[in-house]
Amino acid sequence: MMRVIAESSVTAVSASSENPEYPAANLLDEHPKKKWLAADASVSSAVLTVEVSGRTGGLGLVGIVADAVAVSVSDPGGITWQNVTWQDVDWVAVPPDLDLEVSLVHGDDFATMWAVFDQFEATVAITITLYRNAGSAGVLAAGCLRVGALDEIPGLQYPIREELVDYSLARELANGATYVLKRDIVRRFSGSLLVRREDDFYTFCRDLARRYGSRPMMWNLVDSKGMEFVVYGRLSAMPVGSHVGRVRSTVEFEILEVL
Amino acid sequence: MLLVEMTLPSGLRRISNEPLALEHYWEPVVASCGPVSMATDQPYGGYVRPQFGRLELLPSLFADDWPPPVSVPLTMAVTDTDEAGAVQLMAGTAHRAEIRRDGIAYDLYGREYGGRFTDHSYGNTVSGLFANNIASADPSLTADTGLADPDSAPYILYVDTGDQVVIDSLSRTCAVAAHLFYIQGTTAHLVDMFTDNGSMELTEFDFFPSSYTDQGPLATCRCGDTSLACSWPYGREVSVSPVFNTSDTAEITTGLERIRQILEAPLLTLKAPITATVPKFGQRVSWTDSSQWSPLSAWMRVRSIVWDFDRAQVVLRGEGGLA
Repeated sequence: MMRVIAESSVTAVSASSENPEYPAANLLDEHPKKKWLAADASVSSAVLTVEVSGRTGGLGLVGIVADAVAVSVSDPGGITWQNVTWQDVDWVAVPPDLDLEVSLVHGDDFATMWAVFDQFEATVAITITLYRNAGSAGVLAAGCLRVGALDEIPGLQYPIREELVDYSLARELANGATYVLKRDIVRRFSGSLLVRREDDFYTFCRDLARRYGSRPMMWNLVDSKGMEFVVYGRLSAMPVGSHVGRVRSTVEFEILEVL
Repeated sequence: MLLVEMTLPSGLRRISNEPLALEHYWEPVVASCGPVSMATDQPYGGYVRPQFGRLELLPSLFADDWPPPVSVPLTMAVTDTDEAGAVQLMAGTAHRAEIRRDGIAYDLYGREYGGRFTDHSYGNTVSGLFANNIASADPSLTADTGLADPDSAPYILYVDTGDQVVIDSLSRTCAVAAHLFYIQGTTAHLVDMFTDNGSMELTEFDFFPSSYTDQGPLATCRCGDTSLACSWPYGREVSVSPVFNTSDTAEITTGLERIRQILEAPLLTLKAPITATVPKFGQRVSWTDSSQWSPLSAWMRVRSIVWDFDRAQVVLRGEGGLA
């Protein structure tokens, strides 16, 4: 399955702690490397408060530097939905009344989080709390946040190709050794979908690819084993489809992570 | 890493040719940065004149300042690690050159020293005339002549006629005395072309494959009616101007002999990764190149530095020696 947040329903974001050069507002631009940073390494937890208005069904956060993350969703009527906390596990799921699922992928500075819940259309506050374990080095951070309506396209097929694209420069030195100017390395996902022509093929090709082009979007790729990939990226090439029958179509896609 | 600060009408913008999350975030909107070069006016000396190329910027930089402003104050620096370790290469002005759909081009201009004089008389050693006149180029400038060699250089005696830009007149005059000068902040450093302005030893992990060219045979050095036979009968003739101290041809011959030695030395070019360790002009750089047929010991005094950000390399050039 592929989930996509193309349009943001975030009206404001604030943080309980921030470096003035890297404020929480950076989470809403199109550059994950232009990130939010907590004030300093002494901050062991920080709360991001996300004001949301409009149709909302999912949340993606990338470039996370934290040891644990908790998400809570509340509505203005005073109903506080149950919190879900991720803590050193890959997957935490399911308060049944909310269908809130949170998943987080580890990494030194590339952890990602994805949360899905029943789609609603209301003005709510979502809080995301990031934690640092005692003795853990570094400053709490996150790169890019998207909250909004979900487009869900089933039929993600194997193989799902995941590769790294290296923007570093490498040149030969006088003695034959290699000089490397290390620059950023990003991920590129490519694969194919086998979908119903109506509506899934057109959801992907028309409602996403043609409408947004190479504008970055928040993607969540889930294979049939439940393995997840969360990437804030753009379609680096327009999808190529083939109508293989009267009902079914295939679509090949390529998503390049943005910085 | 390239760090450029531009002061747009909407405020200060920090930009680079890659996304950099340092003490501040540097936006990746520099599509191309033409070479920034600093080189002596003449191979045998003169003003180390900065020449700045063209900056190609993404239109998105000007979202709040459209259309892009014509003239923008700018500084350019490089760093290896963080902003505290940055070394400034220039502080000047970017002047709009072209608006295209895919990019905005700006030509870069460094600080100009616009002082002028008319029918100026020189009658001094190179150190003396430099110290006496550099403030006429710009009142903020002070002279550092600690690495000059007035005893070896010829005595300069002539009148630079007509309306002259002081920095250009001094450049010509110092060159015939085989001295270079460069401006760093508000200090103008005068350096003898035969004196090391510090030294630096490189290993072969520090530079890219390089080649070493000779400057071509020289038959004659001439200054007005005074000529000096050089080492080769079949080479070119070099005319040196201005014609100084015509009352004493021995002084001119002294100057020509120094220039001959410089022009007959091998001209070495070394390409290296851009780092924040920037050699000084006149600094002696030495290395061994064992990638040649047999190891080659080389050295040069730096006369020209070109920062090529698009190729992530710095090109050093100067006369020197091979052994």
